[in-house]
Amino acid sequence: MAEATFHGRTARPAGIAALRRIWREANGLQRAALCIGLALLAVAAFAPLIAPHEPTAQSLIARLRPPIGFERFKEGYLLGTDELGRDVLSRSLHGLQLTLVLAMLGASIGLVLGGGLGLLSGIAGGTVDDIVMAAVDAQIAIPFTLIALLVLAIFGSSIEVMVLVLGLYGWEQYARIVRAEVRRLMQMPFVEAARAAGATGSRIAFRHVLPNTVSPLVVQFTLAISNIVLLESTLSFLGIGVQPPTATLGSMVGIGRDYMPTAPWIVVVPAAMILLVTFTVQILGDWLRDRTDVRLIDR
Amino acid sequence: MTPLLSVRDLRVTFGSTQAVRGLSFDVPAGGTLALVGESGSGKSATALSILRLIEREGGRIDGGTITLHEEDGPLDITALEEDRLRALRGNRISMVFQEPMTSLNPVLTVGNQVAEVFVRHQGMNRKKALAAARNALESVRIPEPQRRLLQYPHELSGGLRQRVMIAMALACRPRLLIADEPTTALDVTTQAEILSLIRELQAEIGMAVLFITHDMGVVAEIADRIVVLREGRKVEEGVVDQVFRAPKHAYSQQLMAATPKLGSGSPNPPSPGPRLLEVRDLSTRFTLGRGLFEPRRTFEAVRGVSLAIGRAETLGLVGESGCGKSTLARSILRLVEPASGSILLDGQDVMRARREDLRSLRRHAQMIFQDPYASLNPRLPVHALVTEPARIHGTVSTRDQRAFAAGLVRSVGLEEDAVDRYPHQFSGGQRQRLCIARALSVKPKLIVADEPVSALDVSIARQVTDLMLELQEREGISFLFISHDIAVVERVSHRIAVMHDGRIVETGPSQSVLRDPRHPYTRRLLASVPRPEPGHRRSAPDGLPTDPLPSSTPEARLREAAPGHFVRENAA
Repeated sequence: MAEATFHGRTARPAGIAALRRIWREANGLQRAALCIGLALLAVAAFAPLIAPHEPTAQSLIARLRPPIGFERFKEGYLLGTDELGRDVLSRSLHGLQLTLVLAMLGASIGLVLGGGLGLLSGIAGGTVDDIVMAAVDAQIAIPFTLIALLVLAIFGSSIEVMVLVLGLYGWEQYARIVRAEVRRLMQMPFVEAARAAGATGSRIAFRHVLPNTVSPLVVQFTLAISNIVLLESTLSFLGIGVQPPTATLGSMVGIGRDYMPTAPWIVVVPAAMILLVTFTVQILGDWLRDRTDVRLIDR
Repeated sequence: MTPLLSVRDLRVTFGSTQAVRGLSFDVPAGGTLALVGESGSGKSATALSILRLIEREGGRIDGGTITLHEEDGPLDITALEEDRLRALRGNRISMVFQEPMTSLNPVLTVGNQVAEVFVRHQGMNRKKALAAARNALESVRIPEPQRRLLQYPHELSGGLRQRVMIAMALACRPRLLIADEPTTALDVTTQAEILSLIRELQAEIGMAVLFITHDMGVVAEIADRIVVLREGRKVEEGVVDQVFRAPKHAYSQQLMAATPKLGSGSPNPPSPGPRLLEVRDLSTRFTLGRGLFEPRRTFEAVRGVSLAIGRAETLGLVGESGCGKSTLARSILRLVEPASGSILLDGQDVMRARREDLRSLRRHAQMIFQDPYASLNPRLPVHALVTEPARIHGTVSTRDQRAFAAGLVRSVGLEEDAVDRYPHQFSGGQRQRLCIARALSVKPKLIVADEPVSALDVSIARQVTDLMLELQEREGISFLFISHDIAVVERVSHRIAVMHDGRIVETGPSQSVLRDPRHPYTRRLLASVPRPEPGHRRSAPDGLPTDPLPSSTPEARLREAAPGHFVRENAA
């Protein structure tokens, strides 16, 4: 019996069988998150096809119309219109697409940059460590919004610059987490065992140390995605983010804020999407962390 | 006579596993009962149940009674409320734990921590409590008790910290002291001191002691009665002499047989041949204090050590914690950079080897570490782990890796299907076998084993050392076997080197050193080893030599006392 479960979990059948097993082993929350996540991805990817209107098409005679089911609802504008008479649903779908791209790219750049520096810092130690940690301290000391303002003011606001700025955000947290883990792991006997076996520095770094830092990294990655969505909306609110009339979820919330008392749907729809995205990412992140941890395989 | 504590049909579960399954025993008033068993036998769960601390650890008492017979009638501990338990703990029943390093709060002074017991249980004010704390420290023979009151735990050695723990436990003159492996983390000489201290204080206060240990030598040293546990059940109970002389149950017999006894002989030395390893005048220093304003200090962990190991020979390196034996082992493999000296391995100069050469030299000398849980990368499957050295040195291809791994795990006595599993799916002994398999993957000439069996139960340790002996026989591997346990070292070593304060103070053929120790430190070490023979009990405390050791000066040279048996002597 023990034998059977053991082989069932370590062997890796490919394709549909594997997917089916993943589904079977997931709990209810994880299944829900997986469904929502896939739906969000699909909707974001096909936003231009699904959206009933152009996201920037204005219709000043149909301003501030509420969603379906309310008084003054206008046919064809399912979730209402904003202050310029643009379709909230269409804008949210396009906004979702852009926000997801920005958040994923930003968090990934931060992961690679910060993780890499943390690994280097933890393994090399000495002067390299001092320099990287000084940079981390400097980064922590200066509010990131200030840096973002400076960069965007100098280089102007474009999607590429935005991605870079968002990627820069949070690198110091990855670096600190990875460095601390690496320093702990470098003291472990199994690293010494690898050295005694004649392993090179890069073998130790990438085979023995890095895989053991995955758990905190995944957690940090999911947190960073949520934070980046918030940062992007902050920047949009300050007028230096993605420029109007292009929609992102953050900028929609920022602009809609003024109309909260009279037309709350302008804020509620994109805010709900942000909520869904961050929730899904967190659940899936935890799940990914558990699934990649071989230590959780049944004894 | 009514016993002080009666445990009847105790059942304890952790989640779905039963840790204790219907255990009954009595602790006589003023007597010492030893609960003996290997890890997982339920001995600690029993101890924690008596103080009802088991719930905090996530366990549950499922049945049975624990009765404390007080003057005013019996008291069932399993049915007491929390506030009455608090009054009981540390007052009527108190406990000493295994880890003196972590059982004290690091940010409070020793005085504050000891005084707290008096404030809590005897309602003293602070000033009175501190005075009482001073007396308590004095009663456990801590030198300079007044000064210790203001010190923090990290300023005290392990032995002193355990004394502080005992002082706290005995502060209220309890009727029962539960000692859960109180000396396991200590050196043998310190262990001997603590054991004799417990015995003396027991006579002074007239308390009963429930002593929990896995070490038969310690049992013989301290207990009147013994209860042998296995998988939560009592397999044997009796008077110590009787159980040691004629254990009835098969498991007790097995436990006795596996317990290493000093003086039970060493393997026959191999035929003299060329030397495999020759170390001369090796010194290793550490720099302490790297801060800006801190003065740089150096600490010499290994001081001018010379030793040699022949082919298929085992040199046992004995010494207490902090004597530099692990640093010496790592220096020989250049995992730590030595400051000076020379190392010849199979005729090749290790000290002068450049990085690339060193990497290929490491093929010939592999290492086994103390902690089998931490020395295997938890994220790699066994077939990748045990073949790693061979992969690094290119002696096996990716294609052959699994078959090669299967052969390796078979050679250390594990099933072949182990190759697809991960380290956490193995027990400690099995993991140590995997570490040995990993070392074997490159067919080394020398294996440096740093306390390879210290973390294992005696019967498992026995199997692992047997495996090492067998491998030596079959493959002609030489071992540098490092341990603080002299009895284990005796069993596997052809020759022994005794290390103290960074120097080798005595070395020679095992039997010559153990039967005719010449250096005062060796003598003290041997006198401190608890023997699993109740007849040998020392009449404490004068049985222990405690006179200060002559500090060996650099001029001290090794003098040949008997053929091949060298002792360090002061030039003066």
